[in-house]
This record gives sequence, structure tokens and C-alpha cells, in this order.
Amino acid sequence: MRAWASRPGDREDRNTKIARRRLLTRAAVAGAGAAASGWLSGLASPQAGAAAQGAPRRGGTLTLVLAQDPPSLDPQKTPSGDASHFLLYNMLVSADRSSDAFLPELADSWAIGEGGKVITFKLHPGVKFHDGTPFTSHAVQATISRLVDPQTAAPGASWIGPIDHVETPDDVTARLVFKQPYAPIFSSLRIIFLAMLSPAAIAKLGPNYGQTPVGAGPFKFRQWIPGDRIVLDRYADYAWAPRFYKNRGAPYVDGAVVRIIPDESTRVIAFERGDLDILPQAPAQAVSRLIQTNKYQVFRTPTDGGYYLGLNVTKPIFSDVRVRQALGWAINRDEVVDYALEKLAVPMDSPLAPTIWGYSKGLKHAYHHDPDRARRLLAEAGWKPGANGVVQKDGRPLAFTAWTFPLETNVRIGVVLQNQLKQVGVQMNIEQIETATLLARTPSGQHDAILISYGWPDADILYYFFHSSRMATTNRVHFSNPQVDRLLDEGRVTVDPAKRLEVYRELQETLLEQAPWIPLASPYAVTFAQPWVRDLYVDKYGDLLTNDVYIQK
Amino acid sequence: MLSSTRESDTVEARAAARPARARSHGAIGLRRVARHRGATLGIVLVAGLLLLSLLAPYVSRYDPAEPHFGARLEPPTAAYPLGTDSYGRDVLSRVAYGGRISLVVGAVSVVVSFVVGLPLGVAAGYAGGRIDDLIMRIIDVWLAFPELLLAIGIVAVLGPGLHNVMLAIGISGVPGVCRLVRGNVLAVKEESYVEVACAVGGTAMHIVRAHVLPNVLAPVVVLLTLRLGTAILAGVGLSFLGLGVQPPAPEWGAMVAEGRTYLQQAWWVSTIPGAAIFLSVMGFNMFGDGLRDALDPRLH
Repeated sequence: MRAWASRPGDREDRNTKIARRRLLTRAAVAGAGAAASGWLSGLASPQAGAAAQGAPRRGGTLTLVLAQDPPSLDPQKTPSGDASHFLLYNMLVSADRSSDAFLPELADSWAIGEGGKVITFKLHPGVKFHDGTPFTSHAVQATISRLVDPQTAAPGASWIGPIDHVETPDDVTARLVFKQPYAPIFSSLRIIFLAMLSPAAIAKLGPNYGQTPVGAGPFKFRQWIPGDRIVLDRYADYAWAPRFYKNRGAPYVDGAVVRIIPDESTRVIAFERGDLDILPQAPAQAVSRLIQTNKYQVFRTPTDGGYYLGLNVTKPIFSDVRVRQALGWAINRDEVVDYALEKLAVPMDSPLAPTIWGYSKGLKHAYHHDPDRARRLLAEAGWKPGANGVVQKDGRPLAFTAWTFPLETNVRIGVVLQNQLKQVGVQMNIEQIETATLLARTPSGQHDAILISYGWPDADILYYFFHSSRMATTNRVHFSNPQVDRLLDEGRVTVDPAKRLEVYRELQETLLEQAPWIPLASPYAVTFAQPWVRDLYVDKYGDLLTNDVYIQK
Repeated sequence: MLSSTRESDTVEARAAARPARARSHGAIGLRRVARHRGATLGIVLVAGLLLLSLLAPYVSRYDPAEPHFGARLEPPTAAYPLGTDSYGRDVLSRVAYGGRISLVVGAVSVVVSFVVGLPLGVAAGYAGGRIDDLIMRIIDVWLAFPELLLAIGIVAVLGPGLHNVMLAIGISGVPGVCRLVRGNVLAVKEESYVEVACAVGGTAMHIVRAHVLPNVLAPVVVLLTLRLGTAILAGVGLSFLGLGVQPPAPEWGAMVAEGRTYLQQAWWVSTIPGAAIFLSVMGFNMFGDGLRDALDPRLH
């Protein structure tokens, strides 16, 4: 079993999501320094923070914050990446800021061969690690060998998929050879576990790589005081920032400090005092207050996941697809966003959140709020008006119980749904069940429905939720459909991104039509920045894109 | 307690001046309670809670569970005397209907404690010996769990919901009732009238019913009254944690939990159910205290 195979799944708290989201370097941004109306108005197109006024200024320090010390600064020894890793390291590819395209980072170009089993990278020439050694194909080989070496015990090892070996025909050519085609490879290659390491430093430091980390990123390591701060210096030789940056060279600031502040309120206070330049993933309670001060730049970033109502299709009431579809039409997602998520979310019209790789726009079978259509479908399925406004069939009312976690947002969504379903004669009860219990009980199929959330950067997550082979574990709706199985299998082995998108489009259409899930909404994370932080971008995963940043106090 | 002692003295004096049978213990007790200031306040609070709950449909014209998103977080006005919550539901109507839930949770769980605890206590106290040892060791283990924790554990196993909450709180209250009953049974058992009843050949069943039970009930009644407050508090506590009565039922604890996010912009959403919890628990506690003062002979 691959290490991460157990990880895709429903999640109960924001923190795990954040941890995972921070694995990624990617793009698109939300309204910055914008008026409240701006940041409330749906999914924003990419926008920058406070705009440049004249030439960027050199100097100053960028102060960031983390809730806890990274487990290690060695990307192969940490289960999740955070700001400190991104400042230190670069990967072979990055993802575009405003599209689903993958952009060159340490690799200049690549070619896919042998049906997806071989990917050949041309590397960026002239790249030097912080220790002065050159970045070559041998570094790619050394990095990946170390990653998959059982001795390293890298938490992120399985992200490289069924890799066989890495060939190095010359210094600037690295060839990744896989045992089978592994389609999510590009999504993997841009995450921190695939950060390129210096072979010289690997040889010298061995397992202690993380204590004096060496990367090829925009900042180099100076000092780490556990529980207090990580201090980084500008890497003057840096000249290979991804092409969405205006500044492709070394950062404008002299250094970066990553403060470690475990307490949520203390982080907010430190930010308000001006001790921090950026407050990522602000705690929900502080969000509206900080926005109302009108003092800070606000970055509202969609997250790579969302809330859904999963219907156990083996239950008699949900075995009829018309009933499931009726629920889809009965639900008003705008109300869910406005009243349960305080407008810090976007409605979801697909099982995939818009930020997940593979999401398709304009799906034919997408649901919108149409209670009459819901009533018609229920009538067609034989449900007649009954007592207390609940429709019934053969004397049984259309009532079900949705299990959810005892978390405020989940319950709020539940109450909003309850009211909407009541309008079409469906009675939904809510039962709050502790996370571990809920997840442990769903495989046996006792539940009618679940109201939970998930998060994952790639459409491959659907395999875990809908493939019939996952019935006993993460296929919590007990859904089995040969066409869906076929598409899920195809999505896993189709390496060409364009073809893969087509597979997932068809899959999303089928899933919407079959309606084992009623997708609801994808929440935002909110990042605040001080007004003097110029040209900051926050990508669609909430990651900070800092290479254009300069400080103008 | 000075005044109550003095009042009790007069009651005692008057009672002594008349033939002993003219006034039953119960009547004396009730008069004592009525004259006890704290108890009076307690009775008023409890009566207020009862009235509010019984008259809930007349108190407010709004459905306590139906959202009106057009009227979210409205401050108290003539239309909504106690404001609305974040779903636009009338807080007054929710507090009133919530009173019903809390009262039922309190009453039923206390009855559960009583029905299970009383026989156990009597059995342990009256039978003594091995039975006593066995029952009391079980009770000791039971007591080792903090009450709310035990209730949370039981709900976790049985699943959330009104019935399970009442059962859980009732069960977690059993050891207290059992120990109190046993202690009193032990004392009463040594009384000469019990010995006499034994000597004339009364069966254990008869002695327990006719002589033991009537003499241990008074402190149990006091304990149960005091427990009503505790049980209500445990019930709202479980609902606050999401383990109790499930949404959209208007439960006080759930209301406090739901409103706390909005405390800075809409204080009434959490504060008003919070005040209702405070007043009702205080009411039952003061009533129970007064009842104890009145019924406990050692205090006179």
C-alpha cells in the first residue's frame, strides 16, 4: 500500500487541508487590498496585491509566520510543506499562476514517451545550489533515489508513483522511467517532496540534511531557533524563478524570517501589531473583523476541495436515481455559501472543486436551484404528498439522516439544507458523529447520507470516492457503476494532460447524472498582508508567491 | 440561614403547642420551604421556566426551527423581542421551546437515576454483606468517571439524540442516588422500629416498603431536586458539544454554541439562551437548597 493512499479522503479540519494545500506551488489569486464588495463577489480572476508604484525597492525583511516548527527542513523528511520549504527549494516544474498549465522551473522543457512510461526533462542550465555546486541531471537522479530509498523513509515517497529509475544521458537531460504510466506525475513533480537536493550536500550531511538545508530556491538557510523562528538570507545568485514572476532573479528583500507562533489569537495580534508582514489562513473568527478594519490587503483563495452531501445509494430511498437528482435540484448552493459559509466560499457545480486539477467548466448535467424540477422528479419516482408536508411512497415518508462531524460549519450547512429539502417535501435529519467514528462506520453502509468535506489537488481523488474497488473503505456512498470505473481507471493511466482532462470531463458528467454526491460549496482561505508588502501574489491554494515582493514602508 | 432558623423555631414551637398529629411532616416541610427566601426565589424561577415552556406556542408566533434568511441577526425589536439568530430564527421562540427540551431532559434523566439508583441503594444497604460489597464496588468504579465524561462516553456509544442524552445523564447520576440511599438505609435499619418490625416477623419486602423507604425518601427528594439543575446543565453541555439534541431543534446549549461566532456583532444569540440556562439551573439549586434546609432535621 502506498503511503499516501490512505491520505486522500474526507477531512474534518481546516488545518490538515492547509497543510496539504501548502504542498503545492500554483497560481491564481483573489481580490487584494480590494473593497469588501470585491472580495465577496465570487471566484476572482488572478489579481495582484498592492500594486507597484515605480521601481521595486531593494532591502528589508519579509516576516512570515507558521503555527508550528516544520517537522524538518529536509523535504524528504517532512509530511507536509510550508512557507519555509518554498523559500529554500525549487522543483522541476511549477504550475501556472492563472491556468492549469505546468510551467518550467528547474526543467526548461519535457517530452513524454513510450505511452507515458518515460518523461525526458531538459534542465535549466547554470543553476547552482546554495552550496555552490551545479544542478545537473545527477541531482535529479540523486534526489529521486534518496526519495524512494526505504532508508530515507520519506513521508512523501509515494508521490513519485511507480518510478523505476532515472537516466542521465548528459548533464542537462534527466529521463524518468516508470514501471507503468503514472498520470498524476506533473501534479506530483511540483510539490515540495520533489524539491531538488544537492548531491554534494546529500553525501556530506546524510540524514542531517534538514539541519543545514541546501536547495536552489530564492533564499538560503541561516538559522533555525526551534519554537521561535527560521532565518533565511537572500540567495544572490538566484535567477530561475518561474516565468509568471516579473522578477526572475534574486528576491528584492535581504532576507526572510519565518516566525513560529502556535497560538491563533497571538498570531492575529502579532499581525495587527505589525510584527508580521503576512498572516496566512487567518482564523475564521478574525476574518470579518480584520476585513472591516480596511487596513490590510485581503487575499481570498479558493481551496482544493469542498463540502458535499453523499448519498448511500444502497439505501432503498436513494436507490432510485430520480430521488438523488431531485435532491440536486432542490438545493440552493448560493444560500449555502451566503448563510452557512458567510460568503467565504464558491458554489460547487461538480464533484470536483474548481481549483482541483481536472475540474471542467460548464458541465451539462450541473445542478442549479430548481425546486419545481425536484418536485416533478419525486412525483415521477412515485413519491406522493403526505403528512407534515413530507412526500411518501407506500406509506413511508421520504426522510433520511445525514451524518456529519460535530463542527460548526458542517452543522450550519446541514441546517440550511434541511430547510431547502423541506420545501420539496424531503425530511433531512442531522446526526453529529465524532470524526473517527463516522469514518469507521461508513464502510459498513449503515448510514443514509454523509455531509462532509474533502480536499485534494488532483482529480484522481475521485477514484477513492467512486471506484467500486474502494467500496469497503473510502467509497462511502457505496456507488458502483461500470462506466465510472472505466473512466476512473482511464484517468489514472492517461498521461497526456489534454486527453486526461477529457476523461475527467466525461466522468464528472456521469457522476452528476448519477448523483451519488450532491456537491455543495468550496470554501475560501483568507490571507491578510500589511499595506507595505508590495506585489504579493497568493495562489489559488493559498500559497504565497513572493519573488516579486518588496517592502515599501 | 439565621432567619430561616428563627422561622423554623416558631414553626417547631407552634407544632409543639398543638397535638402532634395536627400537622403532617410534609405540610410543615412545605411551609418551611415557602418561608425560605432562597427557596422562594428558586420556586419563582422554576415556575417561570415551566410557564415559559408550557406556553411556548403562545409566547411567540414564529416557528422555532424555520429559518428566515431575510431576517438574520436582527437585534431585539418589537417584532423579535429577543432578536433573531444567524438563520433568522426568533430567539424568544427558540428559548421558550428550548425550555421544554431542557425540562424534559432534566426530569427524565433524574427519574432514570432514581429508578436505577434507589433499588440498588436499598439492596446494598438493607442486605449488607456480600451484596453490599458487590454493589458498592461497582458504584465506586462508576463514580470514578467524572459525570459529564461518562455521559459523553455513553452518547458516543449509543449515538447522539434526545433519548440517548437523557439515558446517559440518568445513568451517570445513578451512583450519587445509590450511595445516598444506602447510607440512609444503613442508619434507618438500626432504628428500633425496624428491629420491632423484624421481631414481629415482617418480611424484608414489607419492612423496606413500610418502614425503611418512607424514612429515606426525604434526602433523596432533595438530592433529586438538586440533580435536576445538574442534569439540565449536563444536557445543554452535551448539546453544546454537538452530542445532544440534533439541529434544528431549539436546544439552549446548541443555541449558545451556534451564536458564539457572532458574539461581537450579535450578543443576544448566545447570551439569552445562556441566561436561560443560568436562571433555570440556579432556580433548581436554590429550590433544592431550601428543600434540604426544610426537610433535614439536623438543621433545625
